[in-house]
Amino acid sequence: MNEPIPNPYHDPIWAYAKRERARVLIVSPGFAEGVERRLAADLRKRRLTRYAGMALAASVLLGVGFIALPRTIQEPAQNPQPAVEIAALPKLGEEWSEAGRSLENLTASAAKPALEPAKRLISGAENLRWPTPVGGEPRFPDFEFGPVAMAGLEPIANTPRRAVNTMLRDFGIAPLEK
Amino acid sequence: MCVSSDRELVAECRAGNAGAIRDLVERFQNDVFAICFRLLRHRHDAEDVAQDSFVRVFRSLHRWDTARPLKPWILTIAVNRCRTALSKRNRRPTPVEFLADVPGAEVPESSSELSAAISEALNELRGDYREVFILFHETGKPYEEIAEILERPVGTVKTWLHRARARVLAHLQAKGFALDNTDLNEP
Repeated sequence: MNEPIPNPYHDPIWAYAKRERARVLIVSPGFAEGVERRLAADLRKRRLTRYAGMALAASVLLGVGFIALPRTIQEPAQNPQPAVEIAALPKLGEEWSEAGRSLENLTASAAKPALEPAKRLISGAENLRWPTPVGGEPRFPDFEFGPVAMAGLEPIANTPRRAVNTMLRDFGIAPLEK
Repeated sequence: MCVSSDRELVAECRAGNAGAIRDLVERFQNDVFAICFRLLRHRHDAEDVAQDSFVRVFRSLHRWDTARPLKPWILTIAVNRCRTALSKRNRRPTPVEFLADVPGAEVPESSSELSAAISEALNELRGDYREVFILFHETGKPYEEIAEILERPVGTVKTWLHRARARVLAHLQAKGFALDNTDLNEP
C-alpha cells in the first residue's frame, strides 16, 4: 500500500482518497455459494454446447454424405466404357445341353435328307415275309419276319435330337427338352 | 481445508477439488468485489460482475502463468469484466448507486459535496484514466501492481494518473472548489 504523499496541490484528492480507503467493502453473505452455482451452470452450459456442436457436426457430415453418395454412384455412368454385367457362372450340365442344341441345329439340315431313305426302307420292311420253303420242314423261326426286320433296320438315332439325347444320356446328363 | 500458497491452491482447483475452489473464492472475493464496486459504483452490479469474474478465472485457470502472482491476474480479469459491464451500461443506462449511498459509508456532511464532485469528475474521465485513478487513490495499489493489472508499463500508468488528477482538479475548480494551485496543465 502506498501512503498518500502530502501535496497541497492535490489536497482535495488526497482527502477523498483517505476516506475511500477507509471504507471497508465486503461481499454479501452467500457470495461464494453464488460463484459455485454459476460455475456449475457454466459447466453444464459448456457441456451442452459441446454436445450440440458434436451433434451438429455429425448431422452435417451425414447430410454431406447423403448428398455426395448418389454423385459417387453416377460417376461411372459418365465413363465412356459401358458397365459389364457379370453373369453367374453356368453349370457344366447347362453347357453340355447348350452344346447339344448347337450340334442338333448344325446337323439337322444334313441329317434329315440322309435319314429319309432309311425311313422309307424301314416302312417297306414291314411287309417282308419269310421265304416259302421248297419241300421238307421249314427252317425259319416261328415269328413274323416283317416287324423283326423293321426293328433291325431302324437306326439307333433317327433324328439329331435323339442322337444328342443318346450322347447326353451316356454322359449322365439330362436329355434335351422337347 | 488449508492450502498455504496460491500455486498449491490453484493446483487443487485444477484437480477439481470443490473445497479449494471455495477457498480461492473466499481468499480473493473482497479484493475483486472492491475493485468491481469502485469501478461500477453499484453494489448489485459489482457482485454480479465479481461472480462472473470468478467464473472466468476458473474457466481459464489452466492458462495462468505460475511465474506471475495470482492476485493481479485475477484482478486483471475483474477489471476486464468491469469494462465490459460499463460498455453494456453505456448502451443501456441504468440507475447509478454512488459510494455515498452505500450503507456503512459514513461521510462527513462537509466532505460529501466534494466526494460527489469527484465522483462526477471520475464519471467524465476516459476509461483508462478513471481505472488508474481508482486503483491508485481508492484502493491504494502501487504503480507496479496497477501496471500489472492493466497490463501497461509503469510509465504509462504514471502519465495516466497525472492526467486523471489534473482533470479531476480542473473539474473541481470549475465547480467552485477553492484550490491553492492554479497550474492544472497536463504534461
